[in-house]
Amino acid sequence: MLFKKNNKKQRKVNNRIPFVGISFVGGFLFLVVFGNWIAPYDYEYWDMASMMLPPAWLDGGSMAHVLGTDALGRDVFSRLIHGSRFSLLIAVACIACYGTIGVIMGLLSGFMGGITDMVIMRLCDLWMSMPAIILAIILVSLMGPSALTVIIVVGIAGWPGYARIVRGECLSIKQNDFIRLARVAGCSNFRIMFSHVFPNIANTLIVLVTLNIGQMIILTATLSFLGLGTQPPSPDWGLMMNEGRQYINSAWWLVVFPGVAILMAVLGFNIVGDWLREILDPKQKLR
Amino acid sequence: MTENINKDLLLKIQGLKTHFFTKRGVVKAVDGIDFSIRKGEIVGLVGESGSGKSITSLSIMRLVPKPAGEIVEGKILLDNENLLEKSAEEMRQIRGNRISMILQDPMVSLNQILRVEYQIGEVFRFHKKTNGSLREKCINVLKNVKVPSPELRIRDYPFQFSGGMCQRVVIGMGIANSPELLIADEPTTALDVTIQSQILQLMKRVQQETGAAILMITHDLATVAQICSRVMVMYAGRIVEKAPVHTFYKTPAHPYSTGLIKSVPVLGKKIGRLFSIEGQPPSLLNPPAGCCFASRCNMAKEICHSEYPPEITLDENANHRVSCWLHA
Repeated sequence: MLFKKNNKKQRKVNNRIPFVGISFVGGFLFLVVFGNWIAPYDYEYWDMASMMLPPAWLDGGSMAHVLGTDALGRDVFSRLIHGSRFSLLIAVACIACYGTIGVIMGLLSGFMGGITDMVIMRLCDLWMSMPAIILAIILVSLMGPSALTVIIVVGIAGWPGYARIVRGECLSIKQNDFIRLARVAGCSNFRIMFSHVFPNIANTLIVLVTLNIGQMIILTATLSFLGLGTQPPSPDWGLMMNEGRQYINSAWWLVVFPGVAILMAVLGFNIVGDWLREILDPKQKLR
Repeated sequence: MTENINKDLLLKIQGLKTHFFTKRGVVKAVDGIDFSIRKGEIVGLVGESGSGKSITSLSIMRLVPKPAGEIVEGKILLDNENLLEKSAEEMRQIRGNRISMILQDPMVSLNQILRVEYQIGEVFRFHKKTNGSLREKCINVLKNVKVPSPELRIRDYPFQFSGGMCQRVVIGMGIANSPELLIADEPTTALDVTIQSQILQLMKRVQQETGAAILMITHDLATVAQICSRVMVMYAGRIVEKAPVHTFYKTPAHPYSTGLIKSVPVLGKKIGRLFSIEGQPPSLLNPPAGCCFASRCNMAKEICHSEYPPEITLDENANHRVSCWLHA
């Protein structure tokens, strides 16, 4: 009896909804949507009279600027809120870009097999052995740094990961009888790929995308931090850290708060992604 | 052959060989078979697992798994047109339209995450034959195969159907475009006995209504007895005996056929231990010279081990043929 009770408890813990993750992600998405109304200032608004103010709870801080201001007197809190939109938009655009390429390549590779499969997979190997950061530096020097450049760089660098996973899924789904029956019904390869195989990998994709948004936020922040991504005055979190870096001794809040924002968003998406994987994967559910 | 017989000939297969090229060698899954199916008849193709029944059906559909499998020789004539000479696009027009197929396990032959309506619609999307809206046509398909309240069920997903209902849906899809030939690859194997007989009755009715010929692939002799008019017995990639159903059960000619019939239990007859054919079918990787069944045959003669027997006609009218040295 006791054993049984224990067992039940264990199971409950495993399936618990991750409130922390969901609240981080929820808060983040809330800021993305309603940021304009919440933020007390515009992200470009500057006021030389109140530059380098510390957060409100420190000496010299004021409630007008809760998280302090930067070297140009811009409100850190407002910029963080506006920055959430930048981060998410860039992350989503990147994923949409390489997700599409990856899924198409993966489906082609897994479904067609043979020479198509071989060519695409070798292309993946080639692509993966190219360091993304160096690729980014090359492209930026060609196109000039901007948000668009980031999207293009990350977009064309990331597809092999998706292609591999989609290919693997596709290989196992391809073995099913319903694919054969679709053939018997006279469906073309492309139709089978997109209307029969693709819906079956949607679960995997949802998990993959959720887990990936976190990575993308980090990657775009890295690129911005290196000065390869979005340019001032946009309130990108990575860019804010870069700008605050030179004042780290006197104004730590310029670096710490964007850093915490990145951390919370990424952590949130990772936790939610893991949770989604658990509830969407029937094999995991049985455990 | 007279003009008349040629006229209702639907499918004629001549010297079909489908081989699989594996790392360990060539597997001769189908090794030279000849048969023909007339319009509107139900022919049974029986044999044990791995005798090449399914590969025969896939060969007719030109769906042999590539790149390992390949049709190396032979002709598949549908109305005197060789299917092996068709392009992929022409073949697509034939599949689901003139030849259709029902697969073994209904629970996996439908895509679990697409609505039934969508999957039935697939058949119509490529072969625009009938008029009316797609939805109506799909409802009609379900009506045809006696699925209760088709208007509602059409919105369901396959996992909401039972096995028997799923198989009905699959059969409905198979006959939706009134094909001339329906290949049923063990359509009742995955179902329980009561449902089996319902499905067989359904197929028989469907056959009478649409006039389609059915190639019934099975290893269940009871199924054959129930609905087929002719039987072909396949062993190790070859057809060893072809006979009308009644002749086959009364006077089977090939020792393998005799063994098969003897190994079926008869209700109310006390025979103690059930008869079984000793030994295993030969490896198709290096089939023995001569008759493949010789090593398991207790009537084997010397010649059986060295030379493959020719096809011998026992009864021209009934079209009873056997490949066995005992009858030579």
